[in-house]
Amino acid sequence: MSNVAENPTLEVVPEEEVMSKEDVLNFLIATGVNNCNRSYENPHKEMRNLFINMSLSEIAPTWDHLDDAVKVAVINAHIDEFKTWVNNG
Amino acid sequence: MSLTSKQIKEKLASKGLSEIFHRYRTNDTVEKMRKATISHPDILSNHYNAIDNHTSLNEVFKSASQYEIDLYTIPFWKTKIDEMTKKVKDSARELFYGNADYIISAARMVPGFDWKGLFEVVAPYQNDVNYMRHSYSSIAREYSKTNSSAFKDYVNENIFYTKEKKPAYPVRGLMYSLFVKQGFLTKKTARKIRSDGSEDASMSGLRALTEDLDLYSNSDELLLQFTDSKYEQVIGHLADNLPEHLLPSIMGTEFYWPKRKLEKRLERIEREKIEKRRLAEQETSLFDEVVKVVCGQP
Repeated sequence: MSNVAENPTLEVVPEEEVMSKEDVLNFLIATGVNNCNRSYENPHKEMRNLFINMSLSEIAPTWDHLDDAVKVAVINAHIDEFKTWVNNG
Repeated sequence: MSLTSKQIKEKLASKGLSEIFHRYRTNDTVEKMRKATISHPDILSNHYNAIDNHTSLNEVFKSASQYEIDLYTIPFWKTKIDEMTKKVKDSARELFYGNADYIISAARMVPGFDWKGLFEVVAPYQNDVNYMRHSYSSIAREYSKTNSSAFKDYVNENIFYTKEKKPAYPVRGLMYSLFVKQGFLTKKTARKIRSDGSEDASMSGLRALTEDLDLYSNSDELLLQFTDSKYEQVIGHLADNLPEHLLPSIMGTEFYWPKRKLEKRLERIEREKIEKRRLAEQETSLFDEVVKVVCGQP
């Protein structure tokens, strides 16, 4: 008889998710932008602007962790690319 | 500002890192990220400046403790811990005021760490103030446990046998307590604790003695050094904790509450003796009954 059958109360514990270095970095970058977006300080505003004007392929990996306000700002900054993509699609 | 996208990302990652180790920003995601970041020294090594401050490092070590991560086993952190425990002088004030507790956590991770240096750095801040800082008491405790002979010399030279001004009463109290708990108390030093100018300090020493009586083969002799104390708290504590055969030594006390305590304790002892005697008699009569039945006597 297996151990599980002997101990019906045993639970299957899900294996802990291990984050890759890239995942951690992307989260940190997104956290940094989100924070700069909420800040009133000029250097932070500048960093936020530099980020939203980066190429979309550079921004994409951080997308899931960005605040909605930052996502909207990214779309506005790249509106022509989005329009082209939608029209071609 | 013209920065490459790599530089922008690096700067933002640093900003993000300082955010997740910000004292007041905690939620499940942040906790998860803290754990992940601590375990990725390759990320930290590029952005360490972002968390190289007391507040962030406190959070780093708090998270490490929460997730049972021994930072000293990670080579990156081992180097940082060795550095931070060597440069304690620069952070002495912050350490004393509890703003750099991570240094204590870091020192605890180092096998065979010599606490003397850390103790000597914070002691000047504590010696003259009438409140006890947690940082000082933690360091003193570790010092007394890990380098007991140096600690004993320190207490002898700075408290028991000093001709200069002694440290404030909370320090004396703590030192007495740690000194006693290391088994160093002698008849002479017990007498000095009994005569201390502070009731609290004297009590700390006595309390440590009554908690660790097993350390001393001459415990009766040491306890008797306190029986003529001028402090009501001390006599009250003795009334509660002296072994029965030493209770007569404080029977002459004039303190009201210790006297009441002593009366109650003696009454309790008497009650227990009567109860014990009654049980013994019951056992004997029961035994007699059984013998009678077994032997068939009427």
